[in-house]
Amino acid sequence: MMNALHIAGRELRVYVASPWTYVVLAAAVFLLGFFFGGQVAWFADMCQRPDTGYMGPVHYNLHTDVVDPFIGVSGIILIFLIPVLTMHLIAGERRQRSIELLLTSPVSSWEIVLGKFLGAMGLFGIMLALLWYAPVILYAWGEPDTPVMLTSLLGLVLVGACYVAVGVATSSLTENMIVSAILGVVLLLVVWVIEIGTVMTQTEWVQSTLEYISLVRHLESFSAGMIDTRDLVYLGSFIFFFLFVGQQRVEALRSR
Amino acid sequence: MIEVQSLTKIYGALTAVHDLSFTVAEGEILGLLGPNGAGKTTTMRILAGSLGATRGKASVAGFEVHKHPKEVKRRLGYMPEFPPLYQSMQVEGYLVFAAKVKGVPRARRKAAVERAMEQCGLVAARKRVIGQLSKGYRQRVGLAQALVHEPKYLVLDEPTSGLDPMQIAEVRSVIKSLGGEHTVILSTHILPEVTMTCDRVVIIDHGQIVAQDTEKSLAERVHSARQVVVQLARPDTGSLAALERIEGVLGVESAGEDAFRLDTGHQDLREVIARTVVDSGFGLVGMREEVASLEDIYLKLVGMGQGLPPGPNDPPPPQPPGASSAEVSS
Repeated sequence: MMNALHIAGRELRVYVASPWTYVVLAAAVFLLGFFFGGQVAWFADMCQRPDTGYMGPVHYNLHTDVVDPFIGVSGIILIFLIPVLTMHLIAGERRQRSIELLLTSPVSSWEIVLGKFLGAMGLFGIMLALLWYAPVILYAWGEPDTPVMLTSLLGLVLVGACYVAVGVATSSLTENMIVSAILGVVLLLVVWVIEIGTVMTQTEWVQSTLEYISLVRHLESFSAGMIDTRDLVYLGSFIFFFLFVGQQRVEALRSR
Repeated sequence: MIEVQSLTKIYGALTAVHDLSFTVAEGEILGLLGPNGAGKTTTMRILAGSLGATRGKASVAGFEVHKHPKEVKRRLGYMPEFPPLYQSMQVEGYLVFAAKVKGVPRARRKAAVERAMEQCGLVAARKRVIGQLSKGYRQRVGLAQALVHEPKYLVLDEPTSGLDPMQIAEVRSVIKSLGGEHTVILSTHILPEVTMTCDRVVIIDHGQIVAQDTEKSLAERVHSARQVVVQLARPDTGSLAALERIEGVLGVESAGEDAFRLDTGHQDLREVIARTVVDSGFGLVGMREEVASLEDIYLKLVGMGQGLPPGPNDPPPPQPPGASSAEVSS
């Protein structure tokens, strides 16, 4: 386990030294900040209007009208940003042959994959920390429900963890970083599109199956303030599955 | 002790290593010699645990690489031909990381890195970024990486490739200084390197051992079939017969225009041969003894031509060898 932390620590240091990191972080802060600002402005505007609903007064809610859409959009933007951050993790090491240091050290392939995962998660944490102003604004001018805010944040962290796990897996499949990034984006888009599939079909069992495997569906309860064991099991299995793919690939590198 | 037992590695249709067996005693420096593609790197990677074997086993200090990879890796330093370096890291930071993943305890880490840098002449370059280093320095960082956890066993794949003569001399002296306390396997295709640094040589070709022994006894075995080539000014039809009549000569054959190769067994008959040729009026213009250097042994074993007498440790030679020679006198 210590080895995984050593590897994660090295990855974080590499991120800090790489110009790419700052490009991606800037993109994240700009895109998410832009969306958040727009959503808050819209919300503030709507709240000041007199009730105009056909069916009586309309009630706006800080969570369903600002936080949830923000997390939903983050989920889409991260599809494009995270694979760029994870593309080098294993593919880059294979390309520059440095992976042989890890393969010939007393480190297990699980520790390697976990180290890579944790390193990227560390950077994802930094990315989230850069969005500190969002909750600060909400608390300064609104009255968010703290437990719901916390579960929403947990939901966002878990989305990131799922994406990073996919990124680690696609990075292990190829020596080419660009291929790894594209593969990651495509895979995540497919996972995302499954959600749309649920409304495209009328067949009951197909619908329920798609709903079950859709990543988005398992995140909904978090922004509603619930932590459901079924969702945790699903997300845990999702992360484990992709890390397992990565681990198998690393193991194959030294035994093929 | 490093032990390799009937190791076989097959990549699809290619058999890179075929039924290879050898051992390296404690404190010994073994030179693994062979042409490119002979299976040296494959063998070393299997020992270091970055590649699996198809059949057979490799063990280090009694631990089988396949079954106890961590035990082996803790005790073994491996320097691949292309050092596994992180281009964006500084030398010292890289070695600290290498020490961490190789399990050097925190308390000893700093000293271990310091010692490895000293051994490899990297102290002045500690803050340099690896990506900007010259080939020679990268090679040194690769060596330092293999030494940082003070392994008893070292596997070095072409440690001097790409270095300038000064650096080669330095790396060789580092390797020589490792002998005794460390057990080293070193691959190379630079022959003098083996002569200078190794206690024993294993020559492999096409994934098989063609000879293994000390350099001295390999040379002696080649010497046991001494050959003298004479160049005549005025040979005639009787020359061959006259040479054959010299006492001790086992056989004579033509060695090009006006030249004959004499097989003299174990004896040095040059004086007698010279006198005979001069006395017979054939006119001696040249005479040389074919002396076996490691290069000859190597060329004989991995090239084409005549054979080398089999030694006690040899497997049956897979293919016939070639001859080469060195001028002695005329």
